Amino acid sequence: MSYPINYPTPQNANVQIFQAANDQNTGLSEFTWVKPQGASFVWFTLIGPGGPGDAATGGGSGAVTNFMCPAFLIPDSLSVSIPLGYLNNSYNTEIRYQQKNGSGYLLLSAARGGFGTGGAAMTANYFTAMGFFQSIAGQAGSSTSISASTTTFLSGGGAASNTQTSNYGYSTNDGTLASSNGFFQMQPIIVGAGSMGTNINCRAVGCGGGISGSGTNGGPGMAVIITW
Amino acid sequence: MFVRQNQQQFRNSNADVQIFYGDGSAPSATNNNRTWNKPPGVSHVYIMCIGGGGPGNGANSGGSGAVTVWYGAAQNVPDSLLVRMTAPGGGGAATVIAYRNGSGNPTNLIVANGSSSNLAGGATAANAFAASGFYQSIAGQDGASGFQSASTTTFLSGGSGGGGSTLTTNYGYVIPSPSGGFFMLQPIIVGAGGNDSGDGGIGCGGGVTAGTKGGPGMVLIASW
Repeated sequence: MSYPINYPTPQNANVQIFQAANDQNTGLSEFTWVKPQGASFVWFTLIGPGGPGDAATGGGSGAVTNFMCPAFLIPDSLSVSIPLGYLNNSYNTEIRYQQKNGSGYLLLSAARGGFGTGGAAMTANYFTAMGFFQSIAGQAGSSTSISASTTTFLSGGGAASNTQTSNYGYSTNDGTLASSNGFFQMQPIIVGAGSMGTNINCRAVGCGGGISGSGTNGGPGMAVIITW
Repeated sequence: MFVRQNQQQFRNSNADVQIFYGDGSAPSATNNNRTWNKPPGVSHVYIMCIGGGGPGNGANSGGSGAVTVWYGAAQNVPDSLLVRMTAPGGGGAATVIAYRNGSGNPTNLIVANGSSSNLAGGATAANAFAASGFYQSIAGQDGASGFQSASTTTFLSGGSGGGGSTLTTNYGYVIPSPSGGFFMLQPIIVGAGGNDSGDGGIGCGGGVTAGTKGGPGMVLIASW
């Protein structure tokens, strides 16, 4: 299922956004992407789910993987797996080629964040050899405050009553709030902020959960597939 | 030269896709050169070069060729390019996109090295032209003297052979012994080398038997 929201549309591009279902029990949402007829080129952006927080540290943010290639060199249908940033989740955001039998072949992935660790960058593989690939690791979670990352636009989580600063000057906590929710936006520029403190669910795509003795959930994963 | 491929995967596509295959004798200053002319009105260009596969020599099978890709604005690409592909069994010659600059030898813009032995064609470092867009060059896979497993870095396999060994490519395709390799663009791009006495598919290594041929080079240029 696609949700073409918050993306500029008058560009002759087909934009499909895959997001996890709002169900903290299933842990993983499965979709199918079907290549639009007439497509020449394809752009993939995968965001791994944010890591959970525990009593000691906030969750790390998910990795970001981008890939661009000719449409006629990839299958007409791909499997898309989008995980929640669930406390005990072990899934990554993945794109698979599902053949007639077997479990399919992993083409692209964006790793989940962990307890205090950012999601690891993906290594280029045989599929990415015919296109242009980049994968960036997530930001580590913190036991205190969070500063803007110099390498990714997704932030990890941190502690209550500490400052949180994302890229471009966005901030959800100036150090005076006991806890704060994260957020994720694509316009006017793509950026996400992790949670600070004890909020159980970080709804911010790819961002880390805050510190809590009972554990917090990181934000869900996401995939954007654009063809033109 | 095959202009505007009438293939299913390009149906309704707004892209102009031209595919050049290595055939006949090796390209040289006087022989077997092709030309790509930039279609009018295009904004972007994608170029993929595949170097030829290496031959088998009785002890080892051939390695696969390198894959080099470039993508960028059409305004950064000359209106006419010289295209030279590795011939079948091309013995290590590279597949090359070059610019005829009006005097002297053409200037190489994009190079995908071929394999001349069991060693894979090496990746090519980025040059001045590469800086005008996105660029990547990936080395091939070495040929094997027995079983061949799927590469983790390229979709073109080296050859295999000896004692009924099998060759496994990416996505689970298996080449029994003895058999020639293959190359396909759909449903997903992948190539297989030859097994034992078989020749390699495009860009792939020949089987271990002496005299097998590596697959030819190829160039795909898509613009839209």
